[in-house]
Amino acid sequence: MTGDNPVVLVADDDEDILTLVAFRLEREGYEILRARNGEEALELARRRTPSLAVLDVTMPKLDGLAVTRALRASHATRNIPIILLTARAQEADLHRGLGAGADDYVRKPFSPHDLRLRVEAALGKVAA
Amino acid sequence: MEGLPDLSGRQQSARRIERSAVERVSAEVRVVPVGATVIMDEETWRAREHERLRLVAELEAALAELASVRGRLAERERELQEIRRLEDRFLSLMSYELRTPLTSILGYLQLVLEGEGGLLSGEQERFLGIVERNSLRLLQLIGDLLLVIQIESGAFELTKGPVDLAHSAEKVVDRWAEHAMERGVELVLDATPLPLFLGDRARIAQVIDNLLSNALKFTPEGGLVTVSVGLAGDRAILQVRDTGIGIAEDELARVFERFSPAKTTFIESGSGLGLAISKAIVEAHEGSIAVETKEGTGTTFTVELPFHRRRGRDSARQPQNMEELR
Repeated sequence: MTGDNPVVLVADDDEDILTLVAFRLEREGYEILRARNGEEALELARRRTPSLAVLDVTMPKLDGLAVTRALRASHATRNIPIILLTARAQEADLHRGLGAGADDYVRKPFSPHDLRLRVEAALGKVAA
Repeated sequence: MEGLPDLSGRQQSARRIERSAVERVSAEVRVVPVGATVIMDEETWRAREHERLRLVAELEAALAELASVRGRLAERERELQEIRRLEDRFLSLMSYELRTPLTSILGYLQLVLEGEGGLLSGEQERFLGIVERNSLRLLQLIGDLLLVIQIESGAFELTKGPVDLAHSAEKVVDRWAEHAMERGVELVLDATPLPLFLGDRARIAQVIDNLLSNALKFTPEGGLVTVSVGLAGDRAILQVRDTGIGIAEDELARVFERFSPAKTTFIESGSGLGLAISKAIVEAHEGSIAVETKEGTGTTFTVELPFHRRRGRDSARQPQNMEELR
């Protein structure tokens, strides 16, 4: 799991979900950076500049929306594609996420197939 | 918020009463001599003075009462805000706190079913399949409850786009085809291609799904369920007809109510919210839903959806069966 594999930052305060998402993405061949809150996610993103960030919306310290805005505000992290993971199903919540600058979102519970396609699409957008 | 007093209206009328009381009393008070150039015997003056003091006391009492009413209204307003806050909190609890553990339950279950934890025996796979099916049912229930709360609080919104009703019906029928075959029920789709209309595709599909799953649930082996899509004037018509057990007359009036007693017998499983949700979705599209039934013979649900939104349509619309049912 080193070298040429795209690095994906996964942030979720729920350890079980973090492990699940990381496991699924590792199976797809990505190298995973794990964060358990928003601050950690932001710090890792700044230090390692991942190819993609998959952020849970509801996290302690900084939530996924705040992390998204912070990443978008800084030159070095501005272009990292962001997928929000959210258990909140209301349209308004999703729109807030896109409004904050996220590229896409995945609803929890997620289908592994859906997650894979969206991750590929978000990464493809960078390559193109 | 529906069913609660309009506080701003009450406060306005309280202020109106206060203003008129002040005007009335000051008019009376102006009669009383101040510069003492008015000639008046002492008895009249005393009587006037007595009356003036009485009016002032009355005014003070009224003002005190108003202050107390205002205080109570403000308190009520705070209570209402607290209720709204709790409602929001409940919505968020529903969607977040319940979905989060389900994410892990379903996620790890799928991993096991995919063989990530080693090969499963046939029995193990079958048992875990039942766990999965019921977890999905729980997820559906959470979604239904959330939707009902949104509908009730007025927070329900459609995500509109072009909808191809015949295509939507076809997709839902396809999804249920295998289940119908297993149950020995013939499932027929009779769809005429229609012009596209503006609506919420996912919600419309949810309505068709609800109606079809109900129809299949209550149609015994050897029965027939027909889903038809057609046109009547400027309205799209969707019908789900079954040859099932029908609905008893005393239950018919309540089939669109949520958690109605009828539900316990009419819909034995599922959330019991499907028809209430379907009705709300159809009405959000300015359409109507109606049911016809004959016990022991079958039931037909008819959904009508208008192609164009026009102002004043609702008042011009013919009374629907639904209105009589309510």
